[in-house]
Amino acid sequence: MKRVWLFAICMLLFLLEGTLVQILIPNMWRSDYSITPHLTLIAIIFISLYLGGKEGLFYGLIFGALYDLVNGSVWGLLLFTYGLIGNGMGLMTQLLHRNLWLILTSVGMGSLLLDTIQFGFFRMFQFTSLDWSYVFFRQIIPSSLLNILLVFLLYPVFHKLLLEIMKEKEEKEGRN
Amino acid sequence: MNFVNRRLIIILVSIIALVTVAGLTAGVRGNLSWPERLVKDTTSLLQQIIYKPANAVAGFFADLSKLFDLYDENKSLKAALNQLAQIQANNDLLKKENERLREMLNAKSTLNNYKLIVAEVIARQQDSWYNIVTIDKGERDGIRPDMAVSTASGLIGLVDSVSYFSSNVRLLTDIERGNHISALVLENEETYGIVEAYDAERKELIMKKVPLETKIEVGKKVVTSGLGGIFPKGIMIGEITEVRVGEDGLTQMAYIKPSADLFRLNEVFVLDRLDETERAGEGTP
Repeated sequence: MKRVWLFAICMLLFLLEGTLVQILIPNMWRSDYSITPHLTLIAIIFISLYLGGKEGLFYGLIFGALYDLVNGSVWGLLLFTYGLIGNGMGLMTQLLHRNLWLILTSVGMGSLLLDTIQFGFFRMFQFTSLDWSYVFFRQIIPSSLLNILLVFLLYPVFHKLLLEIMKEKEEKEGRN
Repeated sequence: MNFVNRRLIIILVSIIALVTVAGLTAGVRGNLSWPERLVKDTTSLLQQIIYKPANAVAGFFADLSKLFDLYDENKSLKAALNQLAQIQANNDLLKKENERLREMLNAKSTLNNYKLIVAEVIARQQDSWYNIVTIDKGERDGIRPDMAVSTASGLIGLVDSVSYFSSNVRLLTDIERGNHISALVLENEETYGIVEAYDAERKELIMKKVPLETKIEVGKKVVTSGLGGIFPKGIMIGEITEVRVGEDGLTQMAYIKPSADLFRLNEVFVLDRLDETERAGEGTP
């Protein structure tokens, strides 16, 4: 049951990203800085850190595929990137103690990675002629900072929910 | 060690698969297959549920902040309205005369015949790499890939992929992926050019391949020429802000400020072109 909630929240964040967030961000920002809140990515990183790399990979692949479909752009790019981040974040941090700082760092890194991979890819296929430094300072770094701030908003929701799911998981394993 | 190696191989293989698949599917979309449609339509229905009320609330607050200018605006609008009646009458007269003359000449196709389909924006992918908005009309409403899309103030893009209830519109800012527009500079003697690039730092479109002999001036309006086969004739694109000699030195290029606000889109028109034309380079190749 808790897992249904988790999926529903991820889906809601996905929908909000395309709709409500678009209305909230003022035009001036959007034209000059192009800041992107990656709400679903934050959710996937949370899942990856709490429940492990495997589940992170699972959610990453699902939402990556959804993005690819809805964006209607290049098939497979976001599928790969979200899967990679979902899996990698959990694996890299499995030996570390999980606290808010770790989550903040992971989300910052994840956002950087996502934007950089996308930009690199589009640059490689020459879909964009923008300059590295321009994109880096106007888009990638500000987006990363915004996403770090957004963690504070999502932390209470996910922390509680994921701890409960972890408890359920342990009980199940204990019974077996 | 073995474990790490296996993981590395999986990642490498998926990178190769990614590049192959992405390279094959990039740009070309058109009509979606049925599983894609199923997901796309479900998402767009859910997006509508969130977007419409949220947009209404945002619109209300935007209106509220404009409340104090209303009196002045009303006064100037009324003045403009008086002139409009005269212009409308002139327009009707000219249209009739034009039709009559065309009939005498036996020239049927005008390149600017089109039907409007009104649609509302329900979502926007805001990553700067995806200049795509989703609208709430699809194949059911007669939308096909590669139709031109505009707002009241000017061209904004063309239909990229079509699903049953919804479709994606690729904005002008994404022009470098092969959507070239054949354009015409107004108030000049027939100067044609091709809008084929977007300068993201200046937020302006670039029109290239304008012959060196023709003189184009800053401030002139640019519209679609209708010659490329996709966009009907006479859709406003924008205004020229700067003219330069092109990179090859043999042609000129001009920067164009788009007349439509591409960052705030609510209601858009999809233009269903009525003239039968052959595609000649516009749209996704």
